Amino acid sequence: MLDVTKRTMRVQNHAYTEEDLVKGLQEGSGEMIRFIYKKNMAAITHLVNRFPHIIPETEDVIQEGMTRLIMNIRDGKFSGKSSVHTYLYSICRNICLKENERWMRDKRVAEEDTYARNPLGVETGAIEMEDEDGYFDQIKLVMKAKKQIGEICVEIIDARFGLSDAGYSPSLSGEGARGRGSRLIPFEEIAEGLGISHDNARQRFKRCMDKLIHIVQVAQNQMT
Amino acid sequence: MKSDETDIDLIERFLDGALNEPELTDFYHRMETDPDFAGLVELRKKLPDLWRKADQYQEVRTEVNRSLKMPTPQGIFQLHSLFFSSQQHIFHLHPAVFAIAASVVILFGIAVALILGTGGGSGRNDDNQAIIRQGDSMLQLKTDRPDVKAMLDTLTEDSVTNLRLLKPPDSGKFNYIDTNTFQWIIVP
Repeated sequence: MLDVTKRTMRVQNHAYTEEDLVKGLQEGSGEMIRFIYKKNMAAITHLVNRFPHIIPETEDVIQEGMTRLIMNIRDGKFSGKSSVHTYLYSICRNICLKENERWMRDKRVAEEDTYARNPLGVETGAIEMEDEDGYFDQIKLVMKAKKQIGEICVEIIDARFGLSDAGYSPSLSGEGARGRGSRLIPFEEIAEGLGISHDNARQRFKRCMDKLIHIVQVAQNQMT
Repeated sequence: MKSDETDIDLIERFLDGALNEPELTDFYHRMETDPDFAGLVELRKKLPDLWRKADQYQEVRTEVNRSLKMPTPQGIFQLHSLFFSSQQHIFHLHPAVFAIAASVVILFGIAVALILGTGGGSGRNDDNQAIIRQGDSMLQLKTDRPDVKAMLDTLTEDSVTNLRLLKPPDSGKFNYIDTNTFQWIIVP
């Protein structure tokens, strides 16, 4: 008779804790990005398939979701109350719901078409909206506007918002470095940094800000 | 849009704290009575943050796309280390340098295996093995890229003469991303 020993072992191919995942995403680890993507792809595909009318493909939704997840983690907006996976799913669900809302608005979907209006069958008010005020939509609008206003405008706006060295006089460089991007730079400093007159700096900024605000407002109006 | 331009200038002076008392009073009054002006002020206040975040968004989106869409040699290696979680390697080499180095190492390995006749032609790669320990026994699983296959390789207990992999089945494919339960029987 054979003496048979039966053994079982559970092999954790990816012993990632929540902390590992958050740290990895904070540091931009490609390994973590791929891991979270693969882990959630099936669930998010299933989710997106429940919204037959929305334009973005699953791939777009999950990439947008991953981008928002990473930005929220880096901004300290992810509290850790839910798992990273649940949080990503929630972000993707919100993206789908918002896209569905846009589709309903464009198509003027009837009130009684409850399935089309809410394919998930959930109380949308109860959904945790990580992007309630359309923050990411606004970011994307500004991103597009930035490409349209030209380099000269980007330069002066960067300087005014404290995001370039142009706005720092040597005497303020230490303070400037600490408060980079968190304070408005006076036009006197900008003028000095760019080698132009104070009035010129102010006028150029005003023209550029006007362009930027105009582009953003037009796009906002088209969305609503 | 002359009036808007004036408003923008006014808002800039407000943000710089450069409005005098009457101007400030007028500014707050307009904020309460003119929704367009109030909306413009709110947007202007948000813009520095949105402006910064627009760059950040672009960078993160590129980071995500690059990680998901471009199977660089570095990326492949990271997938490998994902499977072998005990072997975490971080490389800071340029992908092209890494690719050349990897090609040289692989070619050298194949050449040595062919010369020594140790089965180099079968595609075996010692780096490509998972080692699972339990008690005194050691089970090595071979994996073949791009698929991960469960294949019994060696067992370091002399007393054991036969061993059969039950789960996943011998040579069966499994997803490296999932937690896998390996099951085998040992026949002494």
